[in-house]
Amino acid sequence: MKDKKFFGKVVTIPVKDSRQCNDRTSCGKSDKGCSKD
Amino acid sequence: MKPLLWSKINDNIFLIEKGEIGIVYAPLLGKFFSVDNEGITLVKEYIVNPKKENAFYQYLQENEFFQEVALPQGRIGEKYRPVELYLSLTSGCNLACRYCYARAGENTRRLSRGKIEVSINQLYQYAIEKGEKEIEITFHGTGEATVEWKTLVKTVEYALQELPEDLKLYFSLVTNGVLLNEKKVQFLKQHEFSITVSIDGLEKVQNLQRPYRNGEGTFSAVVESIRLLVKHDVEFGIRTTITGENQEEMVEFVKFCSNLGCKAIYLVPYSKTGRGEDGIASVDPEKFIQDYAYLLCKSKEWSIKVHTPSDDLSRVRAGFCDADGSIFAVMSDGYVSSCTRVTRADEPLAKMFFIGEVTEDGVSIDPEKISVLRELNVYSFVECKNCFTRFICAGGCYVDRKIGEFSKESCYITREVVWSQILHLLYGVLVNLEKKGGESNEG
Repeated sequence: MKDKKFFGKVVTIPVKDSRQCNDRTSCGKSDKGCSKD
Repeated sequence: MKPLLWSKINDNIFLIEKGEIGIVYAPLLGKFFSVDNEGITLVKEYIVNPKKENAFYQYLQENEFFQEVALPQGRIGEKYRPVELYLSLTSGCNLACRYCYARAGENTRRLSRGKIEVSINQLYQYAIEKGEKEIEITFHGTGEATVEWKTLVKTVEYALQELPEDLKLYFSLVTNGVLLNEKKVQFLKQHEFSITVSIDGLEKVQNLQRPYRNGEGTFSAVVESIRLLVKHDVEFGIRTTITGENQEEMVEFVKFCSNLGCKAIYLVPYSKTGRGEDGIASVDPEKFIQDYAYLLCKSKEWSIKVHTPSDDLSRVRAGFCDADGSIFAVMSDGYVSSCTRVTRADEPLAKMFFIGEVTEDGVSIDPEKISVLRELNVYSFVECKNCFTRFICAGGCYVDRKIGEFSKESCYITREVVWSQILHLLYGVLVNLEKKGGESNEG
């Protein structure tokens, strides 16, 4: 379709592993952005 | 910085624009695409007059943007069955951070062994009743857990000794880092702890914002601990509170952490609670976003993941966190809080978030308080109804809202964070470097 040039390719957002240790502070079960320290 | 504008196409599709860039974003489908200027015109025509002949409609149709998608659910009516236990072993702390919301170190109280064991047994009971296979014990709370190191070790031993066969238990520790040594780090490694170390900046800032109680600086001690964690290959991340006083060196500090061997850093704009109410300069939101976007670009080259609240676009949700009646945080005096930021019985929010008590004989939780907390979700916040980050931030931190710290600046940061993430996914490294004079970032 000629109008497709107006729109870019669809990008799918990758799913992060919530158990991946170093990511857990931001995507764990509880948002540890609340951490005091 | 150019303003971020957005239009709602339907409940799950938004047009977002900034300068010359247009993005069509479907948060609940987890996908998006870019739109050029002529495309933006087509989208706007479609918003005013949604005809199927419009090329935009056809593009959405071809790419399955109109599929039915379930809305994230809140937890109204759910029973209290938390699977993560936060233990505040003590209210004592060896530091006197200027903004500490827990006002740690004042009137030290320690959680008794009996209450710790009752809490762990209850956690296991909750997990069994819920049918959960993975549970977690996090040492974190009003004070600094490593001050009570012997208790921490005995708690780990007890938890493992009593662990039901079919449950997998994870340990976490949030620490200021100054008391770690070779032996302690080996223990943490042995038990596969996930560790969060708090440090706020380079030497001058860290020593100013997070001094010992006698006023001396902590920078050297924390850096030494970080080196030990790296040496022993312990999984850890850095948590940094960004204030108006350390914001200038945020980028430099992340580079410093990267050079130390840190693999992840969590940058959290400061909000006022506890001692922080006494006054600390606020973050400049625009500068925070510029630096955050720059760091996203640099994270691969510097081998460090850069995080900030509500930056995970894959995690759509109705609630910001588990404070909606799903947290089992036992304070050092035995009270149970559903929010790790609400730590003292004498603070106003305790009426809402203190949900029960642990005694030597058992755990009592007030179901009526749980019922009220269950209402805390994005559907309760009418001002969020038309926002494209509605299911990413889920309305933000409940405590910030309750204490009146939830502001236009918070929303600005969240939207710009989401925008930065989208651009980063779309263009990789070539985004938002305008402030650095067009600096490129290959590799």
